[in-house]
Formats: sequence, structure tokens, C-alpha cells
Amino acid sequence: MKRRLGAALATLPLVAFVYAPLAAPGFAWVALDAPRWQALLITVAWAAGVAVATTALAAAAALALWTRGRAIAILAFLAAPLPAYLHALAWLPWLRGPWLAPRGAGPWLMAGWVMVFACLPLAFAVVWLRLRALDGRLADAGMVHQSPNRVLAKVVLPLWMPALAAAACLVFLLSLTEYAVPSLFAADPWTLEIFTDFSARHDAARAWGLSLPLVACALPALAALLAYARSAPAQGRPPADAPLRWWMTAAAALLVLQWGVPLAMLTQRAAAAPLSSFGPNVGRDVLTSYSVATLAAAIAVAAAAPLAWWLARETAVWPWVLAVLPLAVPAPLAGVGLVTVWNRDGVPPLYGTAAMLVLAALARFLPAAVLVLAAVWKRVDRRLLDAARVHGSTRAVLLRVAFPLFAPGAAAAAAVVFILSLGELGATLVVAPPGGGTLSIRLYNYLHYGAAGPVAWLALMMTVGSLAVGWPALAWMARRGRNA
Amino acid sequence: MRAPMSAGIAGVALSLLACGGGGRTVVVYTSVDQVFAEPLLAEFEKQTGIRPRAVFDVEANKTVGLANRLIAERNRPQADVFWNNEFLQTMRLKASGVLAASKPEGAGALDARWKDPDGVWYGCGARIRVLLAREGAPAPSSLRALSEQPQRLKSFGMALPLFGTTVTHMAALWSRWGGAETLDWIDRLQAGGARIADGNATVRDLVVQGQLDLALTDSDDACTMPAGAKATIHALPAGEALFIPGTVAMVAGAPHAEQGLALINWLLRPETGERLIELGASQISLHDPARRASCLEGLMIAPPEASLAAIEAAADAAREAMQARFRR
Repeated sequence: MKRRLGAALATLPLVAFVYAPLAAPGFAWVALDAPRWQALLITVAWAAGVAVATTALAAAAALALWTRGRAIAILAFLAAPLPAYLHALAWLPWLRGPWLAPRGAGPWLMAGWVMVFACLPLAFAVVWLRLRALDGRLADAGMVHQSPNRVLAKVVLPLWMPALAAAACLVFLLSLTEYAVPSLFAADPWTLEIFTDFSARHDAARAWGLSLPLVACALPALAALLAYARSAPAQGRPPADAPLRWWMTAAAALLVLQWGVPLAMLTQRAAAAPLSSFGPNVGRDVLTSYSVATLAAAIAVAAAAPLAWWLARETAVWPWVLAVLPLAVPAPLAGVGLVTVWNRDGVPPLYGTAAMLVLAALARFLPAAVLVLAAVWKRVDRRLLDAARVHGSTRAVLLRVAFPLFAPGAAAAAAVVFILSLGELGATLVVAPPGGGTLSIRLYNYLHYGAAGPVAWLALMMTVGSLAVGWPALAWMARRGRNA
Repeated sequence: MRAPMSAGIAGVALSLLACGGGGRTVVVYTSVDQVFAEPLLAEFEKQTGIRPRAVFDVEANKTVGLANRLIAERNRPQADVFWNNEFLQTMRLKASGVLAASKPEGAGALDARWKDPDGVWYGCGARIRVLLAREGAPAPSSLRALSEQPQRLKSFGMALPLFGTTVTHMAALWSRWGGAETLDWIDRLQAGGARIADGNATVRDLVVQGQLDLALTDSDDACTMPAGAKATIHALPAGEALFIPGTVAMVAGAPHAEQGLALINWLLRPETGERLIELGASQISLHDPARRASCLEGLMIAPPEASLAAIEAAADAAREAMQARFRR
């Protein structure tokens, strides 16, 4: 009874921040005709292709950097904060050429290329962290009698497969709900169908109905992701030596290209842009964006921690599913739901204030924080907490034992929510308060207008801000992981 | 360490929650590009002392954002003024009861074609649909003529006719040519391999980059080509041209109605129409159609034929037909 009550209390933030806004617009069933089925299948196939390509590339790069230290691998995350549409901006001039047909499969291939690079840091993080945690002595022992390729296939891959599957599923989910990148290359994803219908009918309930097939397609990927998150953590160390193959080196080089191309393009365009090309209120938007991202990260960690603690001990699958299902829902629906919930009498007067931006970020990314923290709690050895309770008060156990074990993961979850919040656009647009614009809205408006210089400056600001948060968090995690 | 961090977070939270501002303000939801609207609103504040608090739309949302937000807020409106860069969405919001009638001072100077007969919305600056041709590529005499030259269609592009001004243009053609002829034209384009891109700025860029010979786009996109771009702008003939007036309207139940009316008055001034042309947000003045942006100088711009109401009447049928044609 006590456990059930605790579970109910732990899920309250998720219900309040995420499910209430999603449920508010209502639901209307929409039957699909043949063209819509075709659009859905093409979108799913594209997302799957991006997932496989990204994971393969990330895996090859991770193998190249397996024994070569954290510092080098951290370079892979340099472009992690950049939204996918900025990667598209960087690659557009090179992709749109006579060598690639502008119709048929061509637009999907171009969009796929960009999505691979945009998702590469995330996929690399998942597979590399698990690779580093595998017991390298198994590989060392295997290479005494077998070739490195055979050891890779028979020893490393089977142990590594859950992480590879999780990375692929994560990229699949991100690609499935992506709209901006495919549309920039004139490829029409399923999300366009939702927006088209939403634009024509102004019916959020119907838009929810159209989102259902997307959510259904996302369920297997979510299930695989959850299986990984719920699995026992690995504790190991890299092998003494991991032979380098040419394809690993090539993948690692592509990893550098992944951040080198957009950052070089942004720097070059920013250098050519005078500061007078900025409109008024840029400083206000920058301050608002960073404040919102900081607050959302802090609240997300605080709200997700108790739920993640409960999930880490929960053996049933359905609580995990409920915790992460909202990740598959398109952003504007969350925004409309927030308006429905908060723009009414009898609720605190948050609507029309910048607090709505924080709520939008929480509605979108609280499940991500729950996922990260649940994985963190699973790694915590509860015997340490039990031993500490023998001699210490509950407060002392929390502050001196639990918190230091939890802190690196909390930093990672906060960094993830911070970076995602900084680039959030879909829900933000619907709830942005009057006079309270954000960096992402301004950046996307400048992008449409063709103001390449200001776009580059704003994107660099976004990148620098995210790096200022992400790198210390990564470094701290790495340091604590080494000392653990 | 923990206490200052907690205090910092609480301080950020309080400052965010407290933001709302005092003094005279007006809340305006606008789909006019932020790069144009912001400087103008700053001038409005300087001249009137009323602080505008704007919410901007983004191209990516393809009009989903602001219109749906206004509808979602209809029971407790937050906005005072809706300033749109086109007219169809404004007319639909009027039909939904989201907008209210007003009596701005500048309304009398506007031609009856550019204002709502019920006094709900008023025209504010105009754009037109144009053909953009790569240097050296001859422009066709008309859209009909273009569709009869299949060899040219592969190097012609336009935005996806499901949203924005492109679907409005299809509705205008529908109202003049009829549905059957409009669909026949679209079918010829598709059969000929015309390039359908995600937006007007995209097809403009494709012409500028030399990947397309011709593009159907908006005048504001055509006129903001990079300096030195090798492309020319061509007007469409009578019967195919589309004037796209921007529109401004009061939101029903506006919290600051007086300031909202002041903003509408200010936007309807001829001087503001001039500023819109100078900034590039519009290319033709609704007060004096002979006054146009320099990028359109020398063009024979046909006067608008179909009424905006006729275009709106055809819009639903045109949109449904385009969705059936272009959903893949």
C-alpha cells in the first residue's frame, strides 16, 4: 500500500506536466486512406534507414575510440547542441547538386544524410558509454587465440547489441517525429500530414487522431529503448588493446566532419555579418532562452528523480511505457494542450508569462529526464545505501551517500533537458508569451528570411551556451565515473 | 554551494514569472516576418508610447501556429491585434468569431476591395505573386502558356500548394479558371516534372543557384534575392495575377482594446505603408497602387480581378484538391 502510494505520488509530476496537456485537446479517430498509408510507410522506412545508418556509423567510431581516452571522444559532442535544421543549413549548398535527383528518393536521401549527422552525437554517446563499460578482458582473452574480427563478432557484438539497438531506437524516434529537415529538402514526412490537417481544420483532437499511427509505429522502438534502460548496467573497463581498422578510422573522421562542417559554416557566415543586421530585442531572447532552459533542466531533474527511483525498482513494463510514451507525440499538440489547461479561470495566472515556456519544455522533455535518471538509479548499488542506513540518519544517507552517487547522472539529465529546451520550437511557438520570444523562434525566422549572418551568430550562441553546460557535465560525469 | 544555487534558481523563476510589464501595452500576434515587424513595432512604440508585445509566427509552422493559438485562446483572448501578412487566414478567423469589428481612422482611405464589408479586417500593404526567371531563361507569357511547354516544366518550381500564399494562389486560379482547368494545369505540371519545394524562399534560392530556370513565388521573396543574383522578376498577366494584401484586425474581447485600435490606426497610415515597402515586407501600396518597390519598377502589373471573398469561397475546394494531388 505504502509502495503504491509512493508510486502514485512519484508519477504526479509526469501527469501534471505531460499527460494533462496532452489529454486536454481531446481525441478524434481518423481513418487512413491509401495515400496516407503510403506517406506513413515512407516516413517509417526513412526513419528506420536513418537509425541503421547512424548506429552503424556511431558503432564504428566508438570502436575506433574504445581505448583512446574520454577526451577525444568528447569531441564527438561538439555539435550535439545544434538543432537538426542547422545541420541542414550547413549541408544544403553541397547536397543540392546535379549528382542527386531532386525528386523521388533524392530528397529523402539528402534529408537522411543530414539527420544522420544531426543524430550522430546522441547515438555515439549511447554506444560508446556502453562499450567503455563492457569487460575488456573478455576481448583480450579472445584475441589470444582468435582474430580481432572474430572476437568483435562473437564476443563484443553480442554484449554490445542492446546498446546498439537502443541507439537505433532513439534515432528512429527522433527521425520519426522530425519535420523541419525533410521539408527543407522537399521530402514530405507524416508530420507534414498532421500539420496540413491541423492548419486546414484547426482541430487539435483530429490532429491527435492523426498522430496515433505515428505513436503506434514508435511503440516497438520505445519498447526496445525501455528494455535497454531497464537492463542491468555493465561495469567493466576497455581492453588492453583494440586494433584499428580502416572503416573505424573513416567513421571517426566522419565524426569530426559531423561537427566540423556546421561549425565552420556558422563561423564563416557569422564573421561576414555586421552586428547591425540583428533586429531589436535579440538580447532579451537570448536571456529568455537560457533562463527557460536552466529552469526547465532544474525542475525536470527534481520532478523526474522520485519517479525514476520508483521505475528503477519496478519490474512491470507499463509504468515505463507511460513514462516515455509522450516522446513520440508531435510538439504543437503539447503546446495546444498547455493553452487549453492554463488559459482558463481557476488556475494560477501563468498563461501569458514566460513560465509557459518552462512548462512547454517540461511537457516535451520530462520523459527524457525520467529515462536518463532511471538508468542512473539502476546503476546505484543499493547495498551501499542499506549499509549507510545502519549508522546514519535518512537525511545523512541522502546527502552523503545517495546524492554523490546520483549527482553525475542528474548532471547528465539536466544537460540533456537544457540542450533540448534551448532548441525547442513546436510547442514554444504556441505558448510563447507576448514580448517573450526565444532564440529558436528568432533563429528560425531569420533562417526563412535568408539572413544567414544573424542565423549563424544565433546558432553559435546556442552552441556555446549548450557546450558551456554540456561539457562540464560530461567532464564531471567522467571524473566521478573514474573515481567510482 | 547548494544554498546559492537554490537561491539562484528561485530568483530566475521569480523574475520569469513576474515578467508581464506595466504601462500601456498592446499585444499583437503577427505573421509578418519578424525581421520586418520588429523595427516597425519599435517605431510605433517610439511615436505613441505604447509598448507592443509581439508574438511571431515561423515559416516552418505553415500558419498552424498563430491561427490555432488564437482559436485556442478564444474564450480568454490574450491578443489585441492580429496582423497577418495575407488575408485568407484572417477571413477564416473572422468566420470563426475570433475577430471583432473596429473603426480605425484610416479605414475611409482604403479602397473597398481591401477591407472587410463588416469592418472586421483592413488591408495593410500588399505583395503579389510573380515569376522569377534565371538570367538568360525567357519567361513564359502566362502560367497557362508554361503548362503547354512540357520541355520547360522540369526546370520550373513552386512551393507546395498546401499552405500559405501558394494555396491561396491556387484558390484564386480556381475562382477564375474553374476547378477543372486548375486541376488540369496542376496535372500538367506534375506530369512535366515541375519541382515542388517546401516554400517560396526555397524555389527562389533554386533559381538564384541556377538549379531552376523559373519559379512561381511571392514578390517579397523575389525582391530579397541576394545582391548580384542573376535572375529577373516578371509579373503575371490579368486572370492569373494575385494581389496578397496584408490584413490587420482587432481580436474579439481584446484586453487592451484602446491600444489595439491605436496600433491598427498606425498600421493603416500611408506612411506605414511606405515603411513596409522600404523594409521589404510589402511591395505595393494599397493607398496608391502605382507606388511600388523598386524591384517591381517597370513591370506591367495587372490589376486584381477576383474579389478576396471569391477567392475565399474557392479556398476549401482548392485546398482539398491540392491535398489529394500532393499527398505522397
